[in-house]
Amino acid sequence: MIKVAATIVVGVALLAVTLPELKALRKAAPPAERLGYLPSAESIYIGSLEYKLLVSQLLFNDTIFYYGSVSDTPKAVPDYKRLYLYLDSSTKLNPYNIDSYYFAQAVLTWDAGMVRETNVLLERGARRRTWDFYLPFFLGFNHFYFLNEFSEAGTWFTQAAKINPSAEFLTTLAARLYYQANKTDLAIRYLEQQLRETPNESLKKRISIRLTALKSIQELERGVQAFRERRGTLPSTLEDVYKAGLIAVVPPDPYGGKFYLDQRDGRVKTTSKLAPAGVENGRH
Amino acid sequence: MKHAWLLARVTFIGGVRDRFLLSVVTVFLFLMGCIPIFSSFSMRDVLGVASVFSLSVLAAAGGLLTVLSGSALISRDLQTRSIHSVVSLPLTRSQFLMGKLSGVLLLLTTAIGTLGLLSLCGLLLLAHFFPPDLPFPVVNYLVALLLDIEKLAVLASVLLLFSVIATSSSLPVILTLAVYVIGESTEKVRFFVESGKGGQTMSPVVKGVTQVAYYVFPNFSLFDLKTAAVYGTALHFRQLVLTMIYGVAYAAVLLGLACLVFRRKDLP
Repeated sequence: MIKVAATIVVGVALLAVTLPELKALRKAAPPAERLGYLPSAESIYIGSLEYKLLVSQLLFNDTIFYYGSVSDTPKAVPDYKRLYLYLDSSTKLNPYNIDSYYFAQAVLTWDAGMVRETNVLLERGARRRTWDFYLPFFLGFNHFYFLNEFSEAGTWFTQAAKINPSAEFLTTLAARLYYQANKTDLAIRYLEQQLRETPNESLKKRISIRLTALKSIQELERGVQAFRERRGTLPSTLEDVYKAGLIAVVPPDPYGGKFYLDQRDGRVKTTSKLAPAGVENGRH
Repeated sequence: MKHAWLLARVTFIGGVRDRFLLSVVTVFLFLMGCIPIFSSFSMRDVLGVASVFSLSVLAAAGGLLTVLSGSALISRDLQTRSIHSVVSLPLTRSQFLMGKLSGVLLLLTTAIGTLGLLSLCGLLLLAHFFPPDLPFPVVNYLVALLLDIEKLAVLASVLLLFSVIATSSSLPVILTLAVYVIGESTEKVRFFVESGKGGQTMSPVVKGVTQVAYYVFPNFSLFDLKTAAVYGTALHFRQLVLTMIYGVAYAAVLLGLACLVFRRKDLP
């Protein structure tokens, strides 16, 4: 009896010592090791037998668990290319998997600059999820906001509006494109909608930061517009707008950059390019 | 035939009394209890993820139940020599096999049908709390369940054939699992080999083997309607009817082969 009890106690003690150490080691491992080697989508498709929908969801789960853990680590940058591979395989196994599309749109476009790659995924989903207006809406947004491809954007927004005629903003969006609608305004409305619907805390945090930055830009752009209307010319810097009393303050960029006025197109931009520190290919 | 039906009932009751049925049902219910955890990771489609998980667990439980219930189907009777008392009845050996298979099919239909309907109730309840974009496709779900049971019937026939050929109880199980894996992938492999990418990289020998395997082994992909059951995609009536005929025909051929082998088998 004593021997059995001693064995259990020793076992529990060993677990208590090894598990935290193992957890730390696993967390410090490179992304390739943490996310694991991913065979080709064809191999996974054949090997998944009748469980391809389940495997698709498990691949998605792997991406959000990895992304969540990296997001919580200061200055850590996720391996976006590997995340893309996972989402690509996930959506090849199950082209109806909206979670993978949603995550790709929320993370890969804004943070990694992988807009065209994300569009490939979204188009795959739009072909299958014919009842879902979100995918053509995302495609329209990407073409409009990131790629400045207004004609393609109009086509996708029109398709989204056909699927969901009750969404008032969609029905007018295609028409507004011809007037070069305010990109910042559109982005804010888009992000507010995403923030309302996203249950994932890591994503929520990222979207909130992005939204704060864009609202600051919107406020500054309004100040610049008022300056132009009053003086008939663009201000040289944002400080001029502040000195004219048209804005209360030049707010800080939550991404750590500095807001400035681009004299070429008269738009407010930031040195961080709205991307987290350490990430290249940021965008406005 | 009366004795064959009696044998089917005995096999069914024996299966119900066996502990593995209780084990499989317990594991199934436990995994069903995990659905809220699994589906909570979904960002936009809680019901879809729950349906995927539920149907996948159901398929795994069905496969496990078929293998477990069929593994000792013949070998136990041969090893305990109880088969002698059965064959002394006015019952042909073919009727004996038909009775055994019917009993297993009755057990599978009852178990998987009940578990499937339980899952459906759970999913409908979930749909009430997390309304999906489209109404939950109840008809598709039921049809998918029906075809899943038919697939298990084909698998049970495979097991029966191997059971009368082999003398041990483990070899038929291993061979049946191999047929299951091949049957689940044969269509995918064939389509890949015939595609542009696969056509360029695969050797003619592999292509030939793939073609033969496609026609010899059962094509279980035909019975997989999970996508239609989860996302409500259209069911094609003609394809459904042809699949059902294919399943019945395949099981009938295997049963016929099993009868032929069993007739010539020397009983210990």
